[in-house]
Amino acid sequence: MADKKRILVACGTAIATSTVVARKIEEELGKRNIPVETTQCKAAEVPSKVAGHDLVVTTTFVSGTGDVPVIHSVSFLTGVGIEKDIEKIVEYLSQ
Amino acid sequence: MVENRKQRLSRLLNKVKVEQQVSIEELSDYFGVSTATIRRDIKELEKQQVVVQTVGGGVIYQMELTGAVGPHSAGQAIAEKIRIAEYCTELVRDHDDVLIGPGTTTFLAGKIMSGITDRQFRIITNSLELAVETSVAENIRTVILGGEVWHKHSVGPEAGYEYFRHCHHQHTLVLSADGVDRDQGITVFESQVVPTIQQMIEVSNRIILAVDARKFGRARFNRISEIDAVSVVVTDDSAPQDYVDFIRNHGIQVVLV
Repeated sequence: MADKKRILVACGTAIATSTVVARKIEEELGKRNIPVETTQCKAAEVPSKVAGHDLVVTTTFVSGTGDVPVIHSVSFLTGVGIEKDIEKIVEYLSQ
Repeated sequence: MVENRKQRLSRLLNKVKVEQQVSIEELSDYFGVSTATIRRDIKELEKQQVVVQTVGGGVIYQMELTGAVGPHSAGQAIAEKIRIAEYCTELVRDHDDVLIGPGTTTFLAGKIMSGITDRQFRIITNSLELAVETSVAENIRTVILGGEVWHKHSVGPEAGYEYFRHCHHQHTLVLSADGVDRDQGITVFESQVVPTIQQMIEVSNRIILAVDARKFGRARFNRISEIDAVSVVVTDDSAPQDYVDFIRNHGIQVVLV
C-alpha cells in the first residue's frame, strides 16, 4: 500500500477507550500489512480534529465528520465481531 | 412412536430456550414423561453447560457466561455498559491495586483501564482474556488469580486462594452484579462466582459497584453483600430515582453516566 492511512479514533468521556481501540486497530491491520496512523480524541473533539483523516472509528455517537466516513464499533471492547469490523475498515480504507 | 432420548434432549433444550424459565412439572407434562426422566435430562444438559437447574425446581436457560463477553451479553445495554465502564477508569488512582470482579461491565472496565497511560497501577483479575490485554501496557502490572481454568476464559471458583491469603486489605474493587435490591442487597445468578467475589470484597476498602439500570429492583439467587459495603455506585442515567435516593440515603455516592 502506498501511503499510510489516517484513522481518527473517538470515544465517549475518557480517552482510555480510544487508546484501547486504536491499539487493537493497529494490531489487527498490522497483521494484514496495512500501515495506519491513529489519532485519539473524545467524541466532542471530532469536528475540530477530523480534517486530514481517512476514516473515523468510534465507540459512541459522533457528528460533524463532514465527508469522512464513520464506523461505529464496540467490537474492539467486547471482543465480539472484531473480524467483521476490521473487514469494514479495510474496505473503507481501500476506496 | 416413543422418541429417543437424543431427540427429546434437543426438543427439551429448545423448549427451555423459548420459555427462558420453566418448571420440571411443566416439562414433564409437555413431553409426557415422568419428572424423574426430565430431571435426568436436565442433568445431562447441565453437563453440557447449557441449562441451569435452580433451587425451586425451575429450569433456566443460561445466557451469560460470567467472566468474558458472550454474544448474548454483548447485545444487552452495551452502550450503557461502556459508558459505565468508561467512568470507572476515572476512579482509578495512581498506585491503586484494582481487583476486577466477574461480569460483562467489569470486564469492559478492566479492558478500558488497559488504555490508561497517565497512572501506574495493578490490575488483579481471574479473566485470562483481560490479563492478556492489560499485560501489554507498561504502566500496568497484571496479576492473574491462580486456579483451574473455567469455561475456557477465566479461572474458576477457587481463583486466587494463594493471593488472597497474603495480600493487603486496601484494594479497589470493581464489582458487578445481576441484581441490586432494597431488601436482598447485591445478588448474583451464578453460585460458583460467590466465593471469589466474597474474597475480593474482604480485601477491598473501596468498592465500585458498576451496574446498568436494569439491575435495580432485581434479586437473584446468591447474595453477595449488603448495599452498605459499596463506596460508589456507577450506573446509567435511566436508573430509577427511588433507588438512586435509597442508595444515597445510605451515604453512598451514586454516579449517573
